[in-house]
Amino acid sequence: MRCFEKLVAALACALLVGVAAPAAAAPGDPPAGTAPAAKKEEADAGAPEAEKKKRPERDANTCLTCHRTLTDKKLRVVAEEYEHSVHRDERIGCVACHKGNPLDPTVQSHDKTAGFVVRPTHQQMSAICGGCHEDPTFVRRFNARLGVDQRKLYDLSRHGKIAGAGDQNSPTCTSCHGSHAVLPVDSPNALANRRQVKDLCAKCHADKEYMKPYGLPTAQTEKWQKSVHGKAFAEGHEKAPTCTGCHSPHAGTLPGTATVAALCDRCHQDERDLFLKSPHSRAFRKLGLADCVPCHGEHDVGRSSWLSGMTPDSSCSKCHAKDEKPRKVAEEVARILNDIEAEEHGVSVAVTEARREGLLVPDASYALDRLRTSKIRLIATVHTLDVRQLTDDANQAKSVANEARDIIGRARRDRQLERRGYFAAIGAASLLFVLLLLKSIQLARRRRRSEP
Amino acid sequence: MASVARKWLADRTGSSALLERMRARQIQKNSVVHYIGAMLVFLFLLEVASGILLLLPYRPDPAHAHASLTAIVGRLPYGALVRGIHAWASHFFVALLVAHLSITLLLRRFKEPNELVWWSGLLLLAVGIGLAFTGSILPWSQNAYLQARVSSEMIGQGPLFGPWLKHLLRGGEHVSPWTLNHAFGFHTGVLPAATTMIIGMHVVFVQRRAKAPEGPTIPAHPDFTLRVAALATFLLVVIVSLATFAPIPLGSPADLREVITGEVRPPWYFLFLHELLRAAPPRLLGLESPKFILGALSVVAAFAFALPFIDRRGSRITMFVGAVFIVLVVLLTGHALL
Repeated sequence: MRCFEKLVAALACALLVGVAAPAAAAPGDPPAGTAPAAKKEEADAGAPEAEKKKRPERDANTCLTCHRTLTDKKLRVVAEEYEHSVHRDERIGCVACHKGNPLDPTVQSHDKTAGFVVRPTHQQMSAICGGCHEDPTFVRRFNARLGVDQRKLYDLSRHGKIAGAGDQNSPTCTSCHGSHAVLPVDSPNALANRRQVKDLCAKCHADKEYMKPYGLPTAQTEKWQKSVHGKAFAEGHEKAPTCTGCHSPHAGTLPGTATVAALCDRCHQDERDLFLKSPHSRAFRKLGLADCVPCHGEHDVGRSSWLSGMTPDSSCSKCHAKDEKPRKVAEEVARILNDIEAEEHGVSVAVTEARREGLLVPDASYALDRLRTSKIRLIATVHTLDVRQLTDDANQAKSVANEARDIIGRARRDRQLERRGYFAAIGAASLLFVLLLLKSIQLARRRRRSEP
Repeated sequence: MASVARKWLADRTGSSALLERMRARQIQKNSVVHYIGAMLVFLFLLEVASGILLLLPYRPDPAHAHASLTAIVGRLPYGALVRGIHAWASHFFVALLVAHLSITLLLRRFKEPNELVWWSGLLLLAVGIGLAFTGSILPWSQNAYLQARVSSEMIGQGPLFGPWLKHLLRGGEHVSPWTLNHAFGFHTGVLPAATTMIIGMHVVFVQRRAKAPEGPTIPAHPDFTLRVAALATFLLVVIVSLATFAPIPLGSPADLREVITGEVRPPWYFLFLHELLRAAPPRLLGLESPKFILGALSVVAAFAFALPFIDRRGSRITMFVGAVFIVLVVLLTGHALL
């Protein structure tokens, strides 16, 4: 028994020496003689304490500690929303916007005299956000690609101006980006995401009551949805413009875009260049009409073939109801455009059908692509109103369409020929089978006869 | 003219001597096993011929495999026919192999002096299934890719060589571009060579059997060869018709990012296993059920190999047990198919 105790004591000594040796070797340690283990513990406890003192209010968000547990839903939800926000970072915290004293874990921290803000007014809001978002060194710590001009642009915009005038119905930063659940714009759940932004704008701009004091129209979103832009967006085209495609999200007006035509120009340069060569260009200027708008409209930008021609809804008939020569041109343009749309549709259906039949016709798909390019060029050429050029282009497009049809027809004929080959092979093999069968039956009979 | 040519050829190749020997040789008259065996040789030759044709335009790499097969089927003259024949004939090959062995088992022909024939037959079944399975991966369609994943996972659950075989099939720990490379190598090199050798040995073992056939007999030539030729042409008609009227679809190209939705069905010769694995509880006798089932199957395979020693005289019990096993497998496959 005593032997066992000795062993334990020896082991304990060995352990102590083992622990003490590396600790003693470390520089800056107290001299030998003091109990090393106890000293070490003390040092461990001391270090974070010093750290905490170096960066106050950053370490722990004491606001969340209480708000997470509150029974009042309204007060709890802010904490929950904030947890998912892009601002969830100890370097920002609740105090970044609400001020107050987060080191005081009592209700005293909500002391308004100490600067606590419950609900910032619309006038204050842009200044609060700008407090961080105008500071490039601060913003760069989180997102190096984020700009710092949002507040300046916003203050220039009509949104900013009415907010500055104290209009509590005006939109501020939080109206579009959310207050506690602020998400980056490229997040799919963000209100201001490209996918959702039309609904966000419509929330105010499609509300007749809301827009009444400002004298603004309310049908823009509806019109846009019917337009080529809206349809392209609905089909999932990445580049299709939504509200923010033309209206700057913060400034309202994009730089250098005093007129609507200048906006169209940002994507449709060729059309504009061609338009400037047309008889319309001079006439519109004389009449004081905006370049693109008289024919295309603003939010309800339509398909080219809907616009042209002399039907009651067409753009041409708006001005040229009685003129003889323009009337002819309009009808010719409409005919050419309708023709090429029909051609494109026909070839596209033919290619799809061929694929469904299992025919592989990459050359026809390639021709279809070329046809589509021709169509786009033709639509651009319409802006010059040069009927001869249009007819030439249309004929060229038609020959591409015929080429595609020929390729598909040839592939189908080849397939049929191959089928015939199969039938011939099956027939020949069947015939051979019958002959061999007859021969072996004959042989069996002969054997049976010679057997007895 | 024809007789002159035949004589010229016979003088140089000794084919007349071979034919004479075949004329003298007697074969059991109505033995299904012989006819199925001959059909298997024919199907193997058909597979080799069509396979070599497919080898030229096929590209064994994940980026081009499916596209090259689409081009074979869609653009090459008679490409769809060759591919159709190759695909359909492979199903017939496996099915007839199974039938060949089942009938041998039920007729108790595994016993002395047929041990070597029986073993080479069993090996041939393994290699044949391997050929069909590696071939089904080559189109690298979504389904082929998923099958490669699921079936190799299943094989990996087997005892002893299971994990090793899985590694070999996948060409690494996971299904990757190397999987396709391995499948291609096995399908066009290793396994056809193995099949050729095993078929050769199998036929030699059959020929060299000492015992004379029982019952009524016919000469190997021209009686048997004529019937085999007739049967082979009939089979060819069936296969070409199926390739024409019931083409096996290629499926969409493999998309490795796509999430597996729904059930992945293995090829029909693995369906009974799939059905068993699906129906089994998670654990059987303290083992994970896939491990247990694959282990049990391996025991059955080992039993089949050892059968000539276990049952030297070919008792009726073996026949009965074999029949029950075959019926079970057929029922499970049928249940999975319907």
